[in-house]
Amino acid sequence: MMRFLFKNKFISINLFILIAVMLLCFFPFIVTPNSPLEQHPWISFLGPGSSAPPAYSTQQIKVDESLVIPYDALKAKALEWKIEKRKSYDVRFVLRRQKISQFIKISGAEPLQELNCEGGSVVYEVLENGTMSKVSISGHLKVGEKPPLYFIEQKRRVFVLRVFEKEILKSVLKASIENSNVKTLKLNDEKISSVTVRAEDIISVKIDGKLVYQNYLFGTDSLGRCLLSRILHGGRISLSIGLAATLVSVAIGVLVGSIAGYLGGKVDIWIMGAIDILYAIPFIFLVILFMVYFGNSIYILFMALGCVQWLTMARIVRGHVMSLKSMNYIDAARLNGCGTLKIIFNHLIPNSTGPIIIYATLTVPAVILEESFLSFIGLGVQFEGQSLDSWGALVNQGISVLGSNGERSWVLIFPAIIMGLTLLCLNNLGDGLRDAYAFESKD
Amino acid sequence: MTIVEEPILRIEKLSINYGKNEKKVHALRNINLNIRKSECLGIAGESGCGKSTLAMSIMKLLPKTAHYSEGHAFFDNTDLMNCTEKKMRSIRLNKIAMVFQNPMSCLNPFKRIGKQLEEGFLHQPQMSSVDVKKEAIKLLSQVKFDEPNRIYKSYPHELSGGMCQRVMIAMAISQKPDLLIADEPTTALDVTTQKDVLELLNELRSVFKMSMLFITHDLSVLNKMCDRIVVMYAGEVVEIANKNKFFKNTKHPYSKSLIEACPSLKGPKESLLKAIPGTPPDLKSLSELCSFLPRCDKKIPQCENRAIGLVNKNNHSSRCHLSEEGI
Amino acid sequence: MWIYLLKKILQGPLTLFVLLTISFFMVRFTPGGPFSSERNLDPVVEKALMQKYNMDKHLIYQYGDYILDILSGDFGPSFKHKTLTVNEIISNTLPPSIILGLCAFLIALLLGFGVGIFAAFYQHRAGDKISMLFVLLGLCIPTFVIGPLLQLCFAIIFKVFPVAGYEGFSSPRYLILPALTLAFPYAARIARLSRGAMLEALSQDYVRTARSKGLSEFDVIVHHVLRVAVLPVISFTGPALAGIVTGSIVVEKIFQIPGLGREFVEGALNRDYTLVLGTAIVYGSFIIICNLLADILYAYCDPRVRLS
Repeated sequence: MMRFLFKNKFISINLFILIAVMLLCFFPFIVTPNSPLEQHPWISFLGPGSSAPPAYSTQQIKVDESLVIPYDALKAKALEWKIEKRKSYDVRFVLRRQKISQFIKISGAEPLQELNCEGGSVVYEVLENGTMSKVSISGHLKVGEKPPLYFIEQKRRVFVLRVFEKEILKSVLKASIENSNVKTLKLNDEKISSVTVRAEDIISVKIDGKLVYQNYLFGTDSLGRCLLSRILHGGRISLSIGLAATLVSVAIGVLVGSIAGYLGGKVDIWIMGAIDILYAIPFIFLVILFMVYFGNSIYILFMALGCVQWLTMARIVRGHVMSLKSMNYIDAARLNGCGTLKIIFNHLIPNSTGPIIIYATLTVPAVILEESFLSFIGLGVQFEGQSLDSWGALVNQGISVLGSNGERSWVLIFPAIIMGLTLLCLNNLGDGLRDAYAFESKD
Repeated sequence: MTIVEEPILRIEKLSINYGKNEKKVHALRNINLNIRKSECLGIAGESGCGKSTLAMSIMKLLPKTAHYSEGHAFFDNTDLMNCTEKKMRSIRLNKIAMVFQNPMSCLNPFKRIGKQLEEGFLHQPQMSSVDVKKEAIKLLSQVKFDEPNRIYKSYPHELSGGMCQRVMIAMAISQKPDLLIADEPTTALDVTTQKDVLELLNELRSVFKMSMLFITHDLSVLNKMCDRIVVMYAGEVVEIANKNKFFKNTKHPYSKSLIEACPSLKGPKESLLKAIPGTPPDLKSLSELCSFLPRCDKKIPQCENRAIGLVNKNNHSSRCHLSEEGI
Repeated sequence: MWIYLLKKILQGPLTLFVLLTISFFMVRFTPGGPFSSERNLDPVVEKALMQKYNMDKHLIYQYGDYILDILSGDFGPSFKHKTLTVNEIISNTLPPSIILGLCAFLIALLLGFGVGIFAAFYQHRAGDKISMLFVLLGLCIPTFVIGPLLQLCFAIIFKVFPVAGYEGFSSPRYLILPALTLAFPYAARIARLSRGAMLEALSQDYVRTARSKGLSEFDVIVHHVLRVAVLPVISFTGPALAGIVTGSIVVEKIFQIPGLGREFVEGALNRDYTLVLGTAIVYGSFIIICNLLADILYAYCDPRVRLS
């Protein structure tokens, strides 16, 4: 069977892709050093192929304290950050009868008469949850006058605006490191003892004089996590679930099928009747009922999935065992005094490995698809409390951030392609194995 | 039966290949045959020699991988190898009909016999369905069914092999064709049924004055049915002769071995059956020399050196250097 | 044939019965479920539940009551929607789901069978390869990826169909994208099945006989091959419908269709046990009936079964 497989170029390509995907999923560091859990909200929705300087969200760097930096700085001697901050200030104003009644600069509680929004300054409205929404204002905001239409439409009375001025404050922070402890700290060549750096402001990082970047091959998602690394770690979960559920279904299916096939008669009729009845119930209901009633743990998930898939396996094994039953070596074994169990485990099951492997290969993609289906509905699993998501959950997130004009499409496309490719390869492999087996058994 | 000399089917230099380039299999090589009106021409040979391919190529029913590389088959003023599919369809069943080898599998198991018979009348839309049904039942009685009405309503799996073959014959003669090709029609049947089917074929041939191309590997059947006999080997014609001349004065060594291989009911009990040693040649390699050479026990020096064609002497052709030499 | 049918007819209600029983025992014996000791339900709902389920009586008695209730069509009160019974919720949301499901089924049949026949006819040529690519995509891309992609392509970029929503049977425009999304994987499977069946039929001896009788390729296909090619498709209608029913859950969410699937999912997420049970039973019965119809149709079409 294996020889036939490798002769067929198409199947070999499939196998190759499959092994490559599995290898990458279990050893993701081969392609990317990024972690799937680290959030960088300031670089959310970066496009594919982009890169960003490595940074943690807001760091305080102090002399004589150790430095934590996104990757190996232990051997570094000198670190340099280029920081660009735009000068900004917050302004609050209150509307009364659709006219601005009060205008205050928040820092310093300085009352203003007007706000000049020309000359390249960018204005954001600061919303209640801390996010900012860009507002286009041209001209002035004056006390006693009507504000732009946008504010009137909001139907609120109090607004906070953040104004970023054109002026960009550039500074260079240098640190010398010894044994991963900060020895000296210089801001614009002035010695300081500590400084707080916001990650959004970091433009570039040099380690020992060399520019360093974190590469995001597939871009980032809504929280700035590396999509490639999320896909690979998610693949680990999806594939593990697939394998585990398949193992469960193989175990149950082979046992039930071989017993039904070998013993025949009444046992067979009852078992096949039960299988026919269970077959008619759509799997999704059983799984959803299971998950609703028994909770969301990952072990329940693949027990549930496995319990649904064993039906097909049982049918296949039963059919195969029935054709093996009439073989001469079974009679010989019986004459030798082998009991039923021994015949089943020593003769029938080892000789059924062909069909078992074929249908196991075809069950894995079915399980992965079902699991992604459940994730989509919201009944997916949280793997041990972390925010590692399986492929289904990743695709679900991708759909929810899809813009109305196809913006941010990569968050959907990449997980979908990788998942689709894996499923394709598994399906093709299973079909190829099935053809190879039929080809061989014809001889 | 009087046989008129002019042929209704003239096959000239017909060659058929399967596949392309190095993997080309030469199924038929340079076949030249004539079938005369009201004649029964028998084709004999072992499996794989190209008999069925020849029959299917006349009907243009070969699979799409076959190439009609050269040659002509003139029938009724048309070259079958060079005519349109539409013309070919009008010839099939109406002028040339065919009966196949495994009658049970040749009938559609999901359709009643009567309906399958009536399919032959599709090109005669002027006949009413009542008339068509009458014709079908008449055909069934012509092929010696005692209860044609019952057979008309039956499904193929309700009939035996011999009955199915008779239904196939009924289908074949339904449009009174000029030529009936029978591709091993009795090979899958037992001997007593075989006798009935062969007698039926003979009877129909004389009633309808059809020519017949009868393909078989059984020489005794050939003896019973045919006027002239053609022997094929490895895709080529090796001997053509009148039936009597063939059996009295066999020329080609292969034909002789074929006749000797038949166990005889009379004479002393032989201990071993006389088989022909060796295996048929690989059809992928073309050779100008005689293709039977490796297995022949009567070879002469010329066989190893010179190419050989069909040598005709007194209407008895043979592809053999021996007959060329007059041996 | 009648013995075959009798077996199938008996199997239907038996399957339903098993489903009911599994559901009943799941509800009763779940930790943290509505019938365990810790309950924090709305007093109105709790009172209704107590009345309905006679929880102080013996288990067998409860089971009997439950079965009778279900058989008379009463699924009980909803756990989360305080004023609605499950019956009301189901009757409100069933029609859109049924319409969507039937549309998807028809599309899957016609599209799948058409593509399969097309591929078999043009075997080994470009038409076959393109069709098989379509089949491959349908098998491996999940429904919830196809849906948004179709939305993006046809509703947003080309603006041919509306993005989401449901306007009833009178506005078929709203049905096309969801039905297409739902049908796609099953169309692919049906295409694969019918192509295989047709290729096998075309290689049979009786097709050679038909050709030798001078029938055109078209006549051969229509009179001899189609009847055989259709059989595996008929036996697939059962699983196809089951799949369409489960797929509708996803499609209703993507296209904002107020159908039964959405209620089922929300019930599952909100732990609304009676709703989930009721929906499962409705879906289950629908699938069982459709399976039975498919079996009857198959028995009629295959003379080997019909005459046995």
